[in-house]
Amino acid sequence: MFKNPKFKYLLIAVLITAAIGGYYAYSEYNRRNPSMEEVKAVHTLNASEILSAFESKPQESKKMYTDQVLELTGPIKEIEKDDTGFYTVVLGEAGSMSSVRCVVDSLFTDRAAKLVSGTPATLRGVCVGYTADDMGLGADLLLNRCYPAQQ
Amino acid sequence: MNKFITLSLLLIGICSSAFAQKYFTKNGSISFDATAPGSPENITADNRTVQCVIDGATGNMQFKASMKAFTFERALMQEHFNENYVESDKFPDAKFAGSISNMSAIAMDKDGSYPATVKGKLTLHGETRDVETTGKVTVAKGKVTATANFSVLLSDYKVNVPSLVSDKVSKTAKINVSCGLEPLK
Repeated sequence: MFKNPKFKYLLIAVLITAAIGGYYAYSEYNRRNPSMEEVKAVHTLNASEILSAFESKPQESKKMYTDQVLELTGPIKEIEKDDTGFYTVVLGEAGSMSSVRCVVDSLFTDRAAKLVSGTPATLRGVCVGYTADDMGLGADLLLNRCYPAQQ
Repeated sequence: MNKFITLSLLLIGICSSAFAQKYFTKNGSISFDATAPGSPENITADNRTVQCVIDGATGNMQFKASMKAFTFERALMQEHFNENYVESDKFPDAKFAGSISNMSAIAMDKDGSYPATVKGKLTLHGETRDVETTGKVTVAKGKVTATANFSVLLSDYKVNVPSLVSDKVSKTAKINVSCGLEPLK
């Protein structure tokens, strides 16, 4: 079929490259956000420690922590369950307006349901932002896709 | 007579404080659907960290949603949304400031389902536009829930959709808002 064996090898190389490229594009397109149960935290801190950091140095803290996986420990101020069954675990000191709000991944609803207000807990999640207190509701650090690592 | 005056003042105080009550949430939900008609691919996301405050007396209301808190089914879509479409690092929040124009027709302390007309300014991707929509305030056993559905034209907020994906991403995004509100103490 191929008079020159170079063409044969070239065709094989092109097909292999196309297959690898196709597989990469397919897997990248279908990539899901990783479960926080399996991801290692970049920073491990106390809830009060990180809230103080955002209050005193908002810009530096934003750069350091936003989009990072954080593992935070603190007393559970409140456990909220919305109408669709999603849990938000609020970490922070009872008397303080500032909190860490951890939206629990729906995969871990059962673990969230076992948490108890007033007791310490550790949650791992992605930091998606800090909302300063410009609506009179207190300042909050927001974590998404959280996994209750320890209760 | 003194007792009567004291009681009257007390009642007026209670009534006015109930009427002037503010309601809030920090775990409100906003979801959007920007799937182009006929596209098999769903472009949807939701955000469960929405802050909202409604003044029960004036109807004034405020919303704030962190853009990075929108969660997509596909990680790549979420990355493109934050980096290329809404530029979340540059414009971290979407905000709405406005009012319920028919607040006097809504009894926040009485069970019922009340239609609400909402007018205000929506700021997204650094662009502010007037928005007007109808919604619903439902009061059931003291629990207040505010819901609204509306659409925004992406080009109004300078959110550019590359021509390569214009058959997948709609020119408008349908937005659903749902907030279970508590009295602000």
